[in-house]
Amino acid sequence: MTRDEIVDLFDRRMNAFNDHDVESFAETYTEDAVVESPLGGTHQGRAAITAVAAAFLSALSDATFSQDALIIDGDQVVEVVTMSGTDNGGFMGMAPSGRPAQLPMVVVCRVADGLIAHERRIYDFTGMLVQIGVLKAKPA
Amino acid sequence: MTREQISAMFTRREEAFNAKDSAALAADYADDAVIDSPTVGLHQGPDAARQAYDVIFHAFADNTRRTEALVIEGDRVAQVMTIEGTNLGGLMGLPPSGKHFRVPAVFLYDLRGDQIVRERRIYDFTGMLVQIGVLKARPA
Repeated sequence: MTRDEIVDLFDRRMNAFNDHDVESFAETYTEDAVVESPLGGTHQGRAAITAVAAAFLSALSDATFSQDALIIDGDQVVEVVTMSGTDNGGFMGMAPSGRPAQLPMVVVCRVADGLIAHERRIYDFTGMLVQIGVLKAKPA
Repeated sequence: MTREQISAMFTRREEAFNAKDSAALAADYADDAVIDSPTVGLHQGPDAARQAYDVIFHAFADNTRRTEALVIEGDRVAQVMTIEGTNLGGLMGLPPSGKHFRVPAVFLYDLRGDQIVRERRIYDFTGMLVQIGVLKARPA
């Protein structure tokens, strides 16, 4: 893929997420794509990717990403985003806390055939759970 | 720098980190370099960088980094790695817990010439604090 094609792919992926269009979001991945996610664990295929994105958006129904950086090196891509959202739908079976979260997230991807074939998500997942009130943390 | 020079620089930096050589690590930063670290906060320049590395090496005397991917585009670099260590020296004014942590991390760098001018570290920092026993987390 050319750089422009990769930029376009990640624009489409972000726009789909920000529109909360989980089917279009999943279509930016190959049929057998593998995603490693703190929330969804390691999951494979568009149906699983759709389900994890839908679970995230049912909890943080106003969630949006804004892109901070896109680093492209052949078929390897690192995207840095800021996620903003509010726990107004309930996370992991908990009641909604109404609390907002904002944090940087990184996705480390390999692209193939015009789509994302592998994605690894790295961010302060525990900190996000504390921000939205799913976890309480205190000094030990 | 060429791609080969950048790769060599990061190989050397990983060796310096694993040897706990804070002076060698700090020498790669420009005087106006800004380093955004969850563990030691925002700091600037080689002197502050060296002090920050010393804080980290005091807390985690067996701290190691293992680079899994280096994504390079021009003067921007994303280093994908696993960081691990044991809280043998205490952190944030707390006594050593003796507990071990391991987290995936992405460090993002902007280079100018052969120096680092910006570094941003992203990982599950709150999860690391829970792993080493500085924080206790429980369901809210």
